[in-house]
Formats: sequence, structure tokens, C-alpha cells
Amino acid sequence: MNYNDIQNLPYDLVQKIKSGEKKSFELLYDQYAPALYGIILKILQQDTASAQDSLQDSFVKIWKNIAAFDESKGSIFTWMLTIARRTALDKLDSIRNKKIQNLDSPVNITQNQFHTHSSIDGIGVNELVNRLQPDHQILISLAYFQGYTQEEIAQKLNMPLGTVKTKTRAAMQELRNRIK
Amino acid sequence: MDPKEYISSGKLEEYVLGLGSSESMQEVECMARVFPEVKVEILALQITLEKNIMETQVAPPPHLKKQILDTIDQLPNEVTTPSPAIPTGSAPAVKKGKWFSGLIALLLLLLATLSVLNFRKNQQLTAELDNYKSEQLELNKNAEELNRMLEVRKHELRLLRDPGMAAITLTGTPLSPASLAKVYWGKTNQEVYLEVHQLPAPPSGKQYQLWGIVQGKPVDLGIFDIPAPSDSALIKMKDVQGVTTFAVTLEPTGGNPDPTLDQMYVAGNVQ
Repeated sequence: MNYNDIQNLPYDLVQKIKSGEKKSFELLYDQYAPALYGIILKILQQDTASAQDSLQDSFVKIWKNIAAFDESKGSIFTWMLTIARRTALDKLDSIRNKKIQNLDSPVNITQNQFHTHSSIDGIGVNELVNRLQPDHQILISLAYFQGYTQEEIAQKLNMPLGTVKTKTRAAMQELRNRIK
Repeated sequence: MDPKEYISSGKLEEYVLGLGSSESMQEVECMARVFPEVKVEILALQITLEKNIMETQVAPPPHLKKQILDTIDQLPNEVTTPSPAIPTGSAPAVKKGKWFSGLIALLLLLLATLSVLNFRKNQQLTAELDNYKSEQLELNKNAEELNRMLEVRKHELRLLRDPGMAAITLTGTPLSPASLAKVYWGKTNQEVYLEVHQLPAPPSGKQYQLWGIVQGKPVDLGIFDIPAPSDSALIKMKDVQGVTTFAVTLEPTGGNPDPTLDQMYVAGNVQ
């Protein structure tokens, strides 16, 4: 499946799903599940069990909320991507919290912080961004795949918030130039 | 707000990546609704993200599809009722009050911006409309004037074409050799029309008077003012019968019972 094939989806696919047609929903799944699963895996750092849970949760949410999808705001893929990313980030949060709750001695918290930090260093594994220049890779990974706010990123990287914003924009422009 | 500036602010990238707060999400969506160029930029960024993500697909295990479809089958049938929208990529843990007041503030800002734009546009249109109105008024006036003149000329043409109408040229006397006038006289209906071609403007207190010589005696045919160029060229004078000569003299305002002969400006004989 490449991007152009997806542009050729039946124009009334969403309409059919909105009217409760499950066959069309299956088609939607076939077209988009691999891309969403790829993103979810990255967010959950290749934890396949959690990723499969998240993919399932995502598609159930997509089915339940399809009526709220507003075409004027963007494509169905963008909308699904938002749901999948959010679902996976929530899962990531709950995994992190569980770790902190289970191991709440000061030493372990320090370890957990260390873990978070080490995941910044391991960013290169994301093929999506690994062709970007290094500082852009870090920003996109922290923001998009790890769900940090730009304020948190600014703190983490010891960088002014304005610089984080400027670099985020530049990173998107770099991604944009890549696909041209 | 300048949409170009907004596009380069970085907010659209935050929106598309799902990094901003709900407030800024709402703001971007409002801006996209107001400015088409913002919307175009958002769509381009979304496509950028979609295409890049498409490059990193991983097939989920085959059993997952059936599992998901089964889960959906077991759901109560509620698909057609719209549930609250999942905010497009909003960040969690933003307080509702803050979100709401931010939205209100944004809407007010937008409303104010639109009002100002609207007001300016309105002022401009009102001024244009006023211009058009006065132009229209001017044109109407011109048209009325032209119509009036046309009616006058038509009337004159009817008179001149009347075969019973004699045209008598009154030429300048030694007192005023350049003066010239014409009289149209209906021999059958006795009507007299005077056409002034050239007469000096009368001094104050004086007025021109037309005379007809009937059987050797001057008959008053009325006083007249030199008509303005836009007025009728033909001045209707008093009717007269059996005239042999027409003459114009300068008399005290209001006219004279008898002509002041040394003040004769033009005269002409009936052929």
C-alpha cells in the first residue's frame, strides 16, 4: 500500500462507515492498519503486546467516533492517525506510571528518569525521521513519538522554547522537502 | 492578523503534529476557517506527515483484524449517534476552564478582527455608493436638460418648417454694425418669434424691445432679454398683422410706448 493507492479509496467510504456498514470499515482497516501499527509500535518502543492493544483500542474508537469525523479539517487518515497516536501515548503514560508506582523508591525514580533520558539517545531507530538532520530527529521523536510538550522538550534539551518551536517548524519543512 | 505571518509562526506545524494545547488547536481551526491560505498550508503539512508515516508500515498480526471486528460486533448499536468528538490531537491534562476561556478570548478576538475588517469594508462601500449616487444624480440632471432642450428644438423645428412662416433677417445699424437677429413671422397666424444672433449686452436699467412697423407706425411687439446659450433660441413675441419692417431698439427697463429711434440696433424688411 502506498500513499497514492490510499487516495483512490471509494469517495463514499467514510459515508458508508458512518451509516454503520462494517464491510467498508474492514476496507478502512486493511488500508490503514499497517501504517497506524507502525506508528504505535514506535511510540511504544516496539512493545508488541501493548501495541496490539493500542491498535485495537484505536480502531474501536474510530468505529465509535466516526460520526464526529469532520472532513473539512483534514483527511480520514490524519484523523485516524491522531486517534492512534493519542491512544498509544496514553498507553505509554500508563506504562510509565505503573513503573513509578511499582518501584517508588528514590533510586528507582532516578533510574526511570535515566531511562527516559536514554530513549532520547536511541532515537535513531525511528526510520521515519532518521534521514532528518540530528537536532530535527530529536525534536520530532520527543514531540511526536514520545508526546512531550514543547515546554517539556525545551526543559529537557535545555533550549529556549522559541528555539524548540522554530526547529520543529524547520523539521516539518525538511520532511516536506523529502517527499517532494 | 496577517495569514502569512500566522503560517510562518510554527503554530500550524504544532497543530498538525498534535503538539499544541486544545486552545491553540481551536485557534488554528478558527484561522483555517477564516483564511483559505492557512487551510491550504495545514492540508499540505498533513499530507507531509501522512506520506512520511506511510513509509514505515508494519503489518499487524492477522488475528488482530478478526479480534477487532468481533469487539465491534459486540458493541451496543450506537454508531449513528455522534459521540463527543475526539479533539484532533489535543494534548492531555489541560484544564477545562482554561480551555474554555481561551476559546472565548479567541472568538472575541476573531469577532473583533472581523468587525474591524467589516467596518472598513463597509465604510469604503458607503463612500463608493455615495459617489455613484451623486454621479447618477448628475447624469439624471443632464438627461433631463437634454430632454428639455430636445423638446424646445423640436418645437422650433416645427415652427420653422411651417410653410406660412417667413424668416426676416434683422441686420446691424450703423450704431452696432455687428448685431444680427432673425424674426420668424407667421403671415397667417400672426405669431412672431425672435432669434438673437448677436446683440451687445444691455447696460443696467436698459432692455431691448422689438417693434413692427405696420402701415408706417411702430407697434410694440414686446421687450426681451438676450437668452442664455442653453435656453430656447426662439423668443415668442406679441402677435402682429401686416408688418413691413421689424426693428429692435434699446429702451428703459420695462419698455417704451414709442421707440427711441437713435437707439435702433437691428432692423429688417419683410420681403
